[in-house]
Amino acid sequence: MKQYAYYPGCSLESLAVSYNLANIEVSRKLGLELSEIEDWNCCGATAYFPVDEFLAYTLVARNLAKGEKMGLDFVTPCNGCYKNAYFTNAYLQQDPDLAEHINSALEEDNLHIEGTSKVKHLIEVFVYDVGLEEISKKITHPLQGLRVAPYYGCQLVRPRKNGEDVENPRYFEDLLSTIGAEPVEYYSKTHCCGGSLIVTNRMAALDMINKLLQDAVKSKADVIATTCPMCNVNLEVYQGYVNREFGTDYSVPVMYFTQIMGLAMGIKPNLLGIGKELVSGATMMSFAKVKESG
Amino acid sequence: MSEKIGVYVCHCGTNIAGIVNVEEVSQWAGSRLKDRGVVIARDYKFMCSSLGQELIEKDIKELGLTRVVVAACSPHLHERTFRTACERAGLNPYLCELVSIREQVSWVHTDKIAATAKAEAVLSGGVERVIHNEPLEPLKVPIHPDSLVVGGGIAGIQAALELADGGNHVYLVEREPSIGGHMAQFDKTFPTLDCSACILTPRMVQVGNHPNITLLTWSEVTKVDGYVGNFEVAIKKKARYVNTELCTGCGICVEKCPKKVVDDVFEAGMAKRKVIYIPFPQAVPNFPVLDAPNCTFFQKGTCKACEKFCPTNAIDFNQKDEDITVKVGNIVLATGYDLFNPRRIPQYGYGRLENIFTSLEFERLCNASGPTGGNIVLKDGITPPKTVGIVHCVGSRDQNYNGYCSAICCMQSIKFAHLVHERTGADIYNFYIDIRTPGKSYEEFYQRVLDEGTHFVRGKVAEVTEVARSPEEEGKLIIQVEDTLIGKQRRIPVDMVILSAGLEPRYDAKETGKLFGIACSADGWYIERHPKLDPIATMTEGVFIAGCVQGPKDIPATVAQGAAAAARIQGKIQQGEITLEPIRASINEDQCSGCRICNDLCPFSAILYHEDRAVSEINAALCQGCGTCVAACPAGAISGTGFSNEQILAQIEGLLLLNIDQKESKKVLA
Amino acid sequence: MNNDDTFEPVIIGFTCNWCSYRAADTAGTARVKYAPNIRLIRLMCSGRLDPTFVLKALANGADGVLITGCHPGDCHYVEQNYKALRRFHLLKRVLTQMGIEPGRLKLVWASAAEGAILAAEFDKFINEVRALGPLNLPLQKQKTFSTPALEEVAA
Repeated sequence: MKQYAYYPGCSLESLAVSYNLANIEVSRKLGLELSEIEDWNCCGATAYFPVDEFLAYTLVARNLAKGEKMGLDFVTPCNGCYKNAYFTNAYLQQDPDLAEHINSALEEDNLHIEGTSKVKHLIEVFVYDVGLEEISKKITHPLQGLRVAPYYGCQLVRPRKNGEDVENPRYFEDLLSTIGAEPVEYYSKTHCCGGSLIVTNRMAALDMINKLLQDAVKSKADVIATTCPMCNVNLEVYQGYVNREFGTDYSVPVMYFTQIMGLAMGIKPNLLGIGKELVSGATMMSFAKVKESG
Repeated sequence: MSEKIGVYVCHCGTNIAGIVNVEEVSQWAGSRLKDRGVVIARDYKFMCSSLGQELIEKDIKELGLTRVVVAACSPHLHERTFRTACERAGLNPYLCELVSIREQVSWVHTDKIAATAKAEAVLSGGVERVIHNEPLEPLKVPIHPDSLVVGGGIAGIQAALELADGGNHVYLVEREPSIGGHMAQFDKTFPTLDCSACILTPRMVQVGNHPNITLLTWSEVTKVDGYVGNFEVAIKKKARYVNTELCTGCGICVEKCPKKVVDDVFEAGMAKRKVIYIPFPQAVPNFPVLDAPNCTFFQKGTCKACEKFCPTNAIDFNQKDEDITVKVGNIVLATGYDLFNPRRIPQYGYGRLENIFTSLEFERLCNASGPTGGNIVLKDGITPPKTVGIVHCVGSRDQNYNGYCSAICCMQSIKFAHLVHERTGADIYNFYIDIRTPGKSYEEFYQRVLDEGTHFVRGKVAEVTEVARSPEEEGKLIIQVEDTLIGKQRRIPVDMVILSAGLEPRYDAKETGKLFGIACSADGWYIERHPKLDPIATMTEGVFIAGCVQGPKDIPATVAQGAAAAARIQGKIQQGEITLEPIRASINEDQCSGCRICNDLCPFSAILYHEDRAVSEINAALCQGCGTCVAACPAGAISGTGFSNEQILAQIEGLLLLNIDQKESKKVLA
Repeated sequence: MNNDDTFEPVIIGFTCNWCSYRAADTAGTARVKYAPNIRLIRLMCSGRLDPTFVLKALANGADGVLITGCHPGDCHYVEQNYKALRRFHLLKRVLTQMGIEPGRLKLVWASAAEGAILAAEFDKFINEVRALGPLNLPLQKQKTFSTPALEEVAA
């Protein structure tokens, strides 16, 4: 079984518990073991970096160091955690002064970081490490006709790394096609969901969420698939607020991509944490139900 | 054996004397370096003045100096001055050295004691070095009166005409079937709104008829050998499949040709042309060219309609490429620019969404001989736009693509706004970062277009999208931009978008440069000899650059550069011969073991290998004096005049003050 | 050594006529300040740099050597700075084998306009060599002074 040093991130312990469940179930089905990093700490999300950059890097580096100690690739299912970990890791490699400073702090905890481990998002692990072909073999309940809007979110592709396509990446669509769903052309798939603005400047965030929902509806998506707990919360929990503010009538189910994958793999919905959503996924679930009985 | 060295330390007013104790340095040299051959050491306020120079000349004559060292400013400024002074007094100029104690000592250090000590060390280095200097004579090489101009755009045309009118023969080589370059594609030129073809074609015709110009279109330079005054250039005349002796330019072949392909050169992909074609009506020369890779005959062996209908039997399917060699004395590279490809900015939707045009494509749209007969219409070919958005700085002034400013896009964008206004009455929005209108009458043109009612929005366009968010936006292209003057995001629906794409070096500029022995800067434009004082010469003698190859510029600047290159060359031709600096390498045949390590190190192919004698030899005229081979020779058989091992090793010893008391050698700071 | 106990290194810097020497001049024209420990030698090109020059300098009192030239791709003589780069890497390994700290030899690229950058590099290198301490090669004590032929240098 291929092992990974798994960094769930704070949200997966609380608001996004279903995401955690789905991740573990799907990974197991694909022959991966997500070994949770021991005593991991918060990654600082978007809030900490503007406060004190150096401390923020150190916070992230502690997790990276622990992952490095395990000798495994570092994997996280949250866009924000992923961006922080990836770039902290990269900067450590490029800047020996930063590495030295951080390591002098980590020493207090008997830790040391080299910056040698690879940092990946869970979706990358599925698409590139496992491979679409292997995944297709595990699909027992292809979700024929389910129209899914692949919401990458912004921090998954920005800042740009390794010359990746930040305007029109396609790997999420490919993954959805592999599991039998129909990925729709989702115009704002890499646009920001507002992130923590939902707390500090709610109107600005609601405006952005409105656009995301509008585009999903326009492309006739049955569900929006997310790769990040923040995006998911903004799109789902605050749909009601958007409706109140803009006089709209949205009722778009929002699911984590692993939940959708899990359904296609025949995993029972309750094991994937389905049923805890605020926006009813009932319409979407009809696809899975049909297959369950069929 | 000992030389008689004169040392002169300049005050340069207070520039040097303010930090370095020049009297002390001069006295130090006079006493501590006496054993090394210094017979006189002076300090003076301004050595470069005529009085200062006279001091040197007098000492040479009266004291019989055999070497001179001046400690003053940078050799890049006054080495020539002092060397000429020595020459006047009868001393070989290369026996004089200028060491910098200004730019590299007094201007960069604050500690007076340390600076004075360093000045002494620097002077000592110069003294030790100059002992090993040898008298050198500059090389004189004859200048062939013919010249080569590569590139038939307005820069090349200007250079060729000036040279030819001056009575000199010119070869003008152009890669495309006709001369004219990008200027032939434009509709109107700013700020006068002259019709571009109308001002260009008379020149083109002149070139075509000029007795002193050999016009070689549909040709490329393949090899350049030789050196300034004596280049041997190999040119490939690509097969046109048309016998130009018989062709009358009647155009029947073009009419009868059954196959059309997209013209992505002259029409910028906006129209089709026939497989056998004349690029545009005013082409010079007016002979068609057959596009062999797309020709039905070459692909399948059938058709030959052109041959059938040609009244003078000028079509020749058996024509082959012809290689010729010409001898020229000087070369002008005027190969122009390529346009930035806006596909690299996916947010602007170019190539994905309809009715988004690049500047060159729009020029063809405006041009009366273009695909729409000069009507500004949308992709359907009929509907004129009601709103047009013109985006400045596409791919320029952008760290993600090209950091530089492309110089002409603001004026071009303003020109487009005027043309759209004139022909369609549409609502026009220009999106800019800054408005750059430095040339003559440029600012007035901008004001005029402002008065016409064009909206200028200061903001870099974030996105061009077709995704509507309100009813007015349906079916339109929406430009999302931050209007920085009002501090608000704006979404402006338009029918047509024109992207003023930046200028870039030609895709093969680096290879072309290598062919001619010149280098490109980091941005890809050719490197000029001096960006302020000599923009048309390169570091390679005899090779000049003119026009956009040197960097983005407008037509007046391009024409000026073409003329400047021609003038420089005419001056040299008039003199009949040229003097080259004798900083060259030479191989001592006796010491050469024929290992040939040096052969591949020379980028100027100046080193030949003699098979019969198994030794290498350096062509002094080709050698540019870099010294790489000198350093590489394992036998030490190559010496570099002016920068020999002896000179440099001696300078190191002098700098480390080994030539005087050992105790002094580490004296650096207080 | 100066009269105090603080050690001040002597650095020899090799510059190329077209780029880095002009950069040093640009630093001068702009009055950018740097430490006086470095003494510059002008070569036509960094490709002219014979490794024996470096050895000569280190053997005769220099505590560090800085090689400078045009940025790769910008060499006046097209590509000779690449050759200097190759020699530099090999020379560094040789010096290490001779027991000389690799930090005493450094290569820096600078274009003619980068006066301030080059000056900063000078200061940086001077600090680095100061931290290494004096080289004190035994050869230094030997008075090798004479018009040197190549054979004598590496001795």
